Amino acid sequence: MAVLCSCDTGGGNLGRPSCYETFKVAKKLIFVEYYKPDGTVNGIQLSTLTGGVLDQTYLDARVKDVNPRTRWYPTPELKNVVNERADDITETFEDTTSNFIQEGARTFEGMALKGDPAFVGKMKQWRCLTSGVFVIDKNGNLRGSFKRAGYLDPIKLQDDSLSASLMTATDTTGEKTRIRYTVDSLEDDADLRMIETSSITADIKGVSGLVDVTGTASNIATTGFDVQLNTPYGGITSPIPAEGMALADFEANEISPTPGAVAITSVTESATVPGFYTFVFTVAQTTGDVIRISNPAVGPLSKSFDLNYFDVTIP
Amino acid sequence: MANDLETIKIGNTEFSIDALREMEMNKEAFKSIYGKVLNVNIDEAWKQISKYCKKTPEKKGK
Repeated sequence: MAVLCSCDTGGGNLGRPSCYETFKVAKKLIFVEYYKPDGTVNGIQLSTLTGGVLDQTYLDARVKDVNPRTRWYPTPELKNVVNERADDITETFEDTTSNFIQEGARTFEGMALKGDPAFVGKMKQWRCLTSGVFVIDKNGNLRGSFKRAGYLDPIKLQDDSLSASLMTATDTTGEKTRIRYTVDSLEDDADLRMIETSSITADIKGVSGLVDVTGTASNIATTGFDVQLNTPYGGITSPIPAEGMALADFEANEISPTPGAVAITSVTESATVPGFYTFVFTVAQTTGDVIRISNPAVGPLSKSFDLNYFDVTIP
Repeated sequence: MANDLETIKIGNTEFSIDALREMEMNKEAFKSIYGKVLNVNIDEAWKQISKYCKKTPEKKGK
């Protein structure tokens, strides 16, 4: 927590320890909604890290959080990262001297390889939100902002500053996604802190975000239904299917006319059609019932899929 | 698994043990439901599943 112009203590001491870790080039970002639904900042409460260590259990709980408002959203690895402040704003006088007025804005730019329009769309959704980022460097350090005791908070982005665009391939380059944003003007470089890689046992450099999954039910009967589950990636006629999902990845609830839980006896993943699943209800449902299939209410999710709920109307 | 769901996986199908305990199912019904989707021997699968299901009477042969 930076303190500027404290007239009681004089200038800051400028000595430094002889050996300490420094933050290297950014390799991944973790996007988060800056505020949690309760209005507090969506930071890391340091006392919740077991033994002060960010372990795999903690990381999984954040990345696979069933609550999208508190979840962490890691990007793929980024290349050609530029993360710098613009020149200071100064006031220049007639005698050519100048006074410091304020720092220039910090902007970040990086490129994710294997550009994909679907990924660009997902990134653009972040512009609608008040969001922040944690930054992962080449060595696996995790950087955030230390503005309140006991927490490492995300670095707040300037609202509406995020931009994502598709850099299409050329004769000599591959398709990429360019990500740009400006850091909020109230963020101070002096507040940046990190959880050092020596205090992280989770695979933080290898972390990846959830993949959206959508489905439309077919062969609906009172006893069950089939569904093809796909990701938004792949060709328009050949989407990449969501494979490997299982019973624990789903929850069924009747939403009309009588809301309540619906038990699923089994989920079968087709052995021949990737991403094709057969659901069997424990009790036959009634004609006209609308059953909503969604992520389980209790997390963290067991797979790296985020199921967009779909409704099944019993014929 | 984050929730407390107790499951058994047979071939490509994952069953909820709690749900099976609530189901009345015999071998004939099991074959009818799972015969086309299970990728393992249906009789072997029934041997494993039947111990969890509420039993309904099997049809007697003539």
